[in-house]
Amino acid sequence: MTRTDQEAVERCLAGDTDAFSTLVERYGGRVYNIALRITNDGDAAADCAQEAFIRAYRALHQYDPNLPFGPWIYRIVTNTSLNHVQRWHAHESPVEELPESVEPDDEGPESSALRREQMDEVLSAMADLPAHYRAALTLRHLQQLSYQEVADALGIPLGTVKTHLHRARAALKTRLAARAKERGA
Amino acid sequence: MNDPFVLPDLDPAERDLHRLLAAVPPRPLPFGFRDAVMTRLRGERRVTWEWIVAAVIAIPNLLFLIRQIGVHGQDFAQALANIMTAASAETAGAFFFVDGLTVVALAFVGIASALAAHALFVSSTPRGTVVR
Repeated sequence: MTRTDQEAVERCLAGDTDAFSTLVERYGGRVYNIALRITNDGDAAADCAQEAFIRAYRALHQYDPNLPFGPWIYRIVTNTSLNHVQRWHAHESPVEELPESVEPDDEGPESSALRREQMDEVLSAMADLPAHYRAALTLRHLQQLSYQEVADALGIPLGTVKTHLHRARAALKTRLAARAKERGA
Repeated sequence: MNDPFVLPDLDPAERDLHRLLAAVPPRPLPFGFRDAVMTRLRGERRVTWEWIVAAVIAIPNLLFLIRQIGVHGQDFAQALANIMTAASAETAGAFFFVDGLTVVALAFVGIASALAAHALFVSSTPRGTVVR
């Protein structure tokens, strides 16, 4: 039976731990991918995602059921991942390969390969950015959240989010240009 | 929200980057992720109960032992001294008297300690296994 997030939360609060698995299943993928882009490390991301769900479960009584569950858990995983990066400076190995099929392409193999290459390039440049810029870019572009949702997830004002994103894009451009220059030299 | 290229508040300056990043396919969850989370959660509940039971067993018995030491502290000290004397003099017998309830209380404190040690061990184990 499919439950809404709020029903699942209610059942958890009533003592039915198993109801939480609905939420883990529903949000696990996005939570893991947010952690992955912030930590740049698959193992650390799995640990952070797991930790985020455990923290969410412990704090369920603080969750406001009138608000969507997604942004709440995104906020928890973002904090957990940023804390992890701060603690371990887990910044070394950029997340490597992209899966083979990038998107349903009506483009053709050449432009699809080119696009894939661009993605790899941008993602690895993104991995060099400071963690809070990576977090903002991940939430905004990879998870496609609105400015307000990003602000909620990061726990910072809307204006600061816009500034972060603006600076993150500028830093990304600089790094991409530097990489292109390196390759050209 | 599902269409990668449509965000209502998308700024023209971020359109190109958004088109590119929104098309990045998500990485699949590690195999067994959900089970690992749920195993940890169930473990946590069990551990909570273990702490409660350990406390319920330990607290009254510890209080009783403290009272016993207060009331019969000299007897215990005497018994210990007798044992030490007997051990150092290599004699066969050492007279001491210990109240049966004290022994029972000590045994209960031991059981509570074992439960608490188990709870501590389980909760300090870092993470459930996620097959990667």
